[in-house]
Amino acid sequence: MTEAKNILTFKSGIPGLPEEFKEFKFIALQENSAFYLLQSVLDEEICFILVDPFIFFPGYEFKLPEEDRNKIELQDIKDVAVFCIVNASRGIKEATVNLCAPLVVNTAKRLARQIVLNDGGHNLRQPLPAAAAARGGTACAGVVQKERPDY
Amino acid sequence: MLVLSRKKGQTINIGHNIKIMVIDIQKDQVRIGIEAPGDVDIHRSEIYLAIQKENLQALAKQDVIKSISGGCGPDQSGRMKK
Repeated sequence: MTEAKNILTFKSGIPGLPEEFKEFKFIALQENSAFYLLQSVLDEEICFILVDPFIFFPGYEFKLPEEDRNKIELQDIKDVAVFCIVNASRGIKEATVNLCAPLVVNTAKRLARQIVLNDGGHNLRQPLPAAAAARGGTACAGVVQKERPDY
Repeated sequence: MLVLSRKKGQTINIGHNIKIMVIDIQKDQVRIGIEAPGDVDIHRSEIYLAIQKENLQALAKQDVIKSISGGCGPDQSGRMKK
C-alpha cells in the first residue's frame, strides 16, 4: 500500500483561490514518486499536482525570507519541505513547474505557505524535464521518474 | 482611489498599524518603504497577479491526475486506490 495522507494548513490561503480554502490533503501519488497531490478538503476538484523540485532541478535554491519562516512557525530548518506546483493544463507532455512561487511546509506543525520569490531568477513556467523526456513515449511521469535521465 | 501627494521622506498611515514611506524618488521610479503587521502579505502586484493566474490554470483535471498516478488516483475520500 502506498498511501500517505496528511492535512496541511495554509493560513493565508493560496493566491487565486477563495480565502476559505486553507486546508488541503497532501497525498503521495506512489512510493518513490516525485509527484504529490494537494487536494482541498472543501472541494476535491480543487487539486494541484506538486513536485519535489530538487529531483528535477538539483540546482534549485532560494533564501527563505524571515517573515515567511515566521509565518509557518519554523523553528528548525530541518523541518522544512519544499514543493512546487505543476501546471499540466496544456497536457502532461507540456507540463511546467512554478519555481517562482514554491510551497514551503513546516512538516512538524503541518503549516504551509506559497511564498513569492522576488529575486527574478526563478521561472513561473519552467518546463518539467521528465515531461520533455516523455515525449515520444507514453507520458506517464511515474514511469519516467524511475528511469530519470541525467541532467 | 484616494490620491495624496507626498515628498521624499514623508509617510502615509493606513489604519493603526500600516505605514508607507516614500524613501527615494529618481526620475520615473519611486522607492517605497512599508511597515505592516506580519499577517499582512505585501507583493508587487504584477508578480502576485501572475501567480494567482498561474495557480488557477494549474488546477489539475482528473484525467491528468490519473495519467500521472498510473490509474491509481484519489477516490472520493481522497484516499489512494489501486
